[in-house]
Amino acid sequence: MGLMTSPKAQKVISSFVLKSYRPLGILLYLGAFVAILIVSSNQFSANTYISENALLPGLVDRQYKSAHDVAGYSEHLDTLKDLEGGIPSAWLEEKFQEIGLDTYSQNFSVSHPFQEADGKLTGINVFAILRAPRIAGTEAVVFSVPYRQGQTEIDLGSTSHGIALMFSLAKLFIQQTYWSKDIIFLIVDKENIGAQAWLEAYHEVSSDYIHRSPLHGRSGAIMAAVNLEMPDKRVDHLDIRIEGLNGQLPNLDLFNMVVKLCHKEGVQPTFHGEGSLSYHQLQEFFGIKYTSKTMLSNMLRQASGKPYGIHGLFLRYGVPAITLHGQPSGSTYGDQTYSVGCVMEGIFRSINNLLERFHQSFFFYVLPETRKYVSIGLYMIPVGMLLVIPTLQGLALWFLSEPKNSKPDKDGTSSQSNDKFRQHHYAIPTFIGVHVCGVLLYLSPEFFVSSFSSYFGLSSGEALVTGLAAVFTGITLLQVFNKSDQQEVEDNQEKKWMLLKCYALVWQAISLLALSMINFSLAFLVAIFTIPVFAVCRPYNNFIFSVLNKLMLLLVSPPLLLCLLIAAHDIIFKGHSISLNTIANVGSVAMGSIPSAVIDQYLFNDWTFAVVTLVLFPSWQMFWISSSVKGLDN
Amino acid sequence: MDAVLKTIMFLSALNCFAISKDDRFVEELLIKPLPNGYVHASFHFSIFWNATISSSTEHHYNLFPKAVGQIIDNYDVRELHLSLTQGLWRHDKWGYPVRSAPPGAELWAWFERSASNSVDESWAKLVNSLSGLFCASLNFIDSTNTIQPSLSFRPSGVVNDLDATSIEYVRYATLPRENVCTENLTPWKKLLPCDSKAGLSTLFNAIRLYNAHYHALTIDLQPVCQSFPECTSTALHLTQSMSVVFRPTLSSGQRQWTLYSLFGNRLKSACPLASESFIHIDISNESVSDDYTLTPSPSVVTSTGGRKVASYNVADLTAGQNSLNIHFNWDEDMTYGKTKPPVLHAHRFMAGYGQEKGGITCMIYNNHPSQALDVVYMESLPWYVRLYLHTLKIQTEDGSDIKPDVIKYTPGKDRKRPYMLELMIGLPPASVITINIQFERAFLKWTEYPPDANIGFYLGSAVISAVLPSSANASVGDYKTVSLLSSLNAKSPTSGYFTRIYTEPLLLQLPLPDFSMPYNVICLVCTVFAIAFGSIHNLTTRRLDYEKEAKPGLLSKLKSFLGIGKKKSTDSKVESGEKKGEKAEDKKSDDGISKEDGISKEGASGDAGRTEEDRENKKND
Repeated sequence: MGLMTSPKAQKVISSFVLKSYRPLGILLYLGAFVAILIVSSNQFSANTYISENALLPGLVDRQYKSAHDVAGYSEHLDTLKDLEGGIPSAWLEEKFQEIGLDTYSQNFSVSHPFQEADGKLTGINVFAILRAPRIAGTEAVVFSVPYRQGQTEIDLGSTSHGIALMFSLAKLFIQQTYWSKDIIFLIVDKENIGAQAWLEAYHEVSSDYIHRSPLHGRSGAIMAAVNLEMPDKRVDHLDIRIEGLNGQLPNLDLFNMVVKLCHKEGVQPTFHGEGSLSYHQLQEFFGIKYTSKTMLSNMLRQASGKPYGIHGLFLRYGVPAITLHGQPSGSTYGDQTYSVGCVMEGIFRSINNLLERFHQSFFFYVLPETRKYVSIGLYMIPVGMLLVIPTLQGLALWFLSEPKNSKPDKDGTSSQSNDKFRQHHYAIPTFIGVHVCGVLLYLSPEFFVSSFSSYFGLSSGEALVTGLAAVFTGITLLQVFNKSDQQEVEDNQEKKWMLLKCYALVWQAISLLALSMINFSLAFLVAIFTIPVFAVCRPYNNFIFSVLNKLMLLLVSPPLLLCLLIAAHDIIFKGHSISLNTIANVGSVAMGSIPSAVIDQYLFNDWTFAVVTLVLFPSWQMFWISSSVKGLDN
Repeated sequence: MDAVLKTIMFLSALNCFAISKDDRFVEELLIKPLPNGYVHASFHFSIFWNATISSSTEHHYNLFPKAVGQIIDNYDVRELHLSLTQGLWRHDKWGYPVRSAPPGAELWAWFERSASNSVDESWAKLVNSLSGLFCASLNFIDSTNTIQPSLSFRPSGVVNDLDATSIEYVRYATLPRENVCTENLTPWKKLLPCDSKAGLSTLFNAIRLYNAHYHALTIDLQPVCQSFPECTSTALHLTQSMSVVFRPTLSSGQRQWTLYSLFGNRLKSACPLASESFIHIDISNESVSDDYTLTPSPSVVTSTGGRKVASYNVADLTAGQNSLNIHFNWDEDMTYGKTKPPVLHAHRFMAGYGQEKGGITCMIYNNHPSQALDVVYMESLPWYVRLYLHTLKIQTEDGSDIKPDVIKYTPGKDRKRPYMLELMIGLPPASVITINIQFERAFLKWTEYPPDANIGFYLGSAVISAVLPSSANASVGDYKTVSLLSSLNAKSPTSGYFTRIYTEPLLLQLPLPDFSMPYNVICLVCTVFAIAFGSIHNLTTRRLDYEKEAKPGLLSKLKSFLGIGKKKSTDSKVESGEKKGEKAEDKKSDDGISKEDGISKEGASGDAGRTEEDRENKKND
């Protein structure tokens, strides 16, 4: 570190940082935008490839000959749906047993603090295990289909055809002797909750909120899970869904294999509704027009931290999992059941070939197209560029906040000992304080529901939002009306906000960098919205500037940032124009998503609420406080 | 409890039957239709030899395989039990097998007391010899996976000296990952007196056998009484057995089966060396209802105690040029349904997820409506599964704790010894008890990982030994007797029916360094970050106030080292000292000092540098 220990070089560097952090910041910010577009383009994103040689997708002769029995199962199931209130578990078990599989079922119920008094949720998962003849039950692959009925069926699409296809394939699979992994056929009731109940029971993890009966049959370690949602025999395309809980993704090999098999069997695979692009589409502006949109959709979904299908819950247990969602074509002729059946057969036979777990290929990636990927090495560049901005500015503020009278006296004693050091005694308590506020916010939901909903007659969701809003407003306003300490020297006030902002910037850079390792999309989207605002915010004596500054900061506060992201999603993907109606819609979606994030945290261990309250909120609050420092001389 | 222990220990002594001739060979095949279209075929080849090998080395081998004889002679083996298995015997669906075996390879042996060899030496040599003999990876058995169980694996043959049952003389090891294939079958069948040239062994068709749902090759050697009950002298009893479970309903789509459809061969002869050659078909009511036909009609049908067996004398039926192909026809088509599980079965699995901690849970089902069962549960785990005995929890379904009657625990030692846990537990009637124990996964050294570490590490089956009240659901009453037929018809002895249940093996993920490129990426990124951090840390925490003079160049350093211009060097030092004094007086911070080691001595803090300089300043004054 010769360079760094030379005072001359140090001066050069500090003067360079002080001179350049503003223009460099602007450049880097624009650069990050350009970079993320470039990495999504045809030019920079690489073509996908199968990294795990053992998979050999599509190499075997398919043995699935006909899907003639699917329609019968499907129709029977639909009639049973109309007859019975819940999942027809007895019938499903009977069908599995007829095929000759070991059949089991599992009851579960959910009770959590945010539940409406009458809304106790119960359900039954049905599953059957094909015991592979070649192993002793040490490895398994899961074939899951969610069971849907009533409103969920209307909202998310029917799956009865998928269940029927599962029976048809089970009949084929059980006749084969080549299985080297057990196949678990799982019919999940009540979507995510059922899947979580089953997974918790399978791994014997205890949960305070989901009560379930024990499983009396299991297989070994689950190597992969494939979730099929097939609404109808006429399927236009299969949408492949990968985003899981907390932004976790399955191994890219699994995705690639499914895409390859879909192409082989003549079923169009899509990713976020976008199919594989043609050569011409990819050549036009390097395909940015299409790829950027798909990638943004992927990132928004990943940033939400919500599982996009029940496969998302398997990922937390180290099981690579994927959902194939059939989009009904709406046409009145054609039948894609057989092709989809062949795709499923291909998937299972490929996974069956695996000698090890999925460990090759990528676990961290974003996808601009079904046959293109952007690996962590590329997408970290824009994040890095964004995070250099607060780091540089933090460094600059550190130099600026350096006390000026730092020369010692002749006899080595200092008369103004206070001025010699930066005012950490101000910044550190603030730093701790905002995090304590964050912890309080994090712990508060249960408190609001228990105390508010009964007094004010609010539903638990409303009570939660109201309570969180109250705490948020309270903590925020506390700083605005804070009386400044008149005793302080004016110059020190200047240094005070600089030091505090320096803390805030460095902390933001660190926390977002850490977050980007876990959930890149969340970190990137938060950074792209907050960094410009955080970079320019500072205290002003001028009232108008001060108010403008505060408004900007409020706009990127966690609750409004959520609204911003939802609005961006609506405007880009649903084609909404910016109108009052849109804003109201965004507001209601945001209001709904906050309680669901809290509940998901309790039921599925969703981290989003924790990240927002424990990391993003304190970070934002520090900027808020630093720009509320009063008593400046300018 | 003592009674049960005693039963397990000396059960075998009751089952020794008198053998008159010098050596004798019996071949038998038991076929048992199981529920839901499964068919269990179990071959048994037994050789009795009225000799004790260790007594004299000059033996003439007649029927008894010399390869085995030499091994047991050389390594002072009293009892030897080896099994090579593919697939798992599903107790809840199939009842109990004739001879239980865990998936993979299992080997246990009792050794004679011997002056020449220590037991450990003999064991090491034995596993290597057997490894060569059976083309199996038994040579991977070493001290890291060998245990000495005190309750579960008692001698199964006759023992004339109580001291000889001390656990000092027993060794037990499993290799759950061992694959079984034709390379093991070929040497195994070469030990038979007729090889596969004649007799029941001509039915061995590797393609059919290895497409089955379960396949086990075993070899058991034990001393038995020549005459019973006097038992004045012992004989050697070698049993080679092979178990296969087929499911003909799946491959052919039909429920009926023939010898040809199961094995792909017809039976053309009996082994001429065999004194008995039989095929038995279990037609008890519990396994088949009355709607079947058997052609040709059996030589003899015996029924005792609810068990009905149709027997075919192979020698008679294959006399001349006849070939034997037994047809088993069902009048009704197959309908699959739920099966009634046997009295005792178990389900073991890995609890928890992630790569740091975990648990092993075993659910043991006692389906007997009124009778409590005492079982011995044995768990043997490699050293990298660090068991915590204090986390052991045994609970019934309603959550009440059960205290084990006996706990035998041997903690493991890293890279030396596996963990062993043996529990004796009383199972209440009609209950499911759950045994749970927590462990921590150890880090291996990076060279210790196998090349395909990503599949995980296999943990062997747990063993549950029990004395069941009756032999219902069992394939035979007790197979250690002279022939299968006699054991099939043996009335349940008062002591009960002893069986071992092997649970599922487990697959364990250990924390694994990423051996591929991302690992390098992490290293590189960390290095870059460390450099960046160091620089920025320096920049922001150090306050450097003095500029230092140019360092003495390499040439002058060299000169001073060699002693050339030494004087000059000291001069400059004095000069610099003076200079320092002068400069310190006018307190310009950006003026340099020229101490020999300059800034580096100044340390991390500018303040420290100043005080030091002040001190020198005073000294100069």
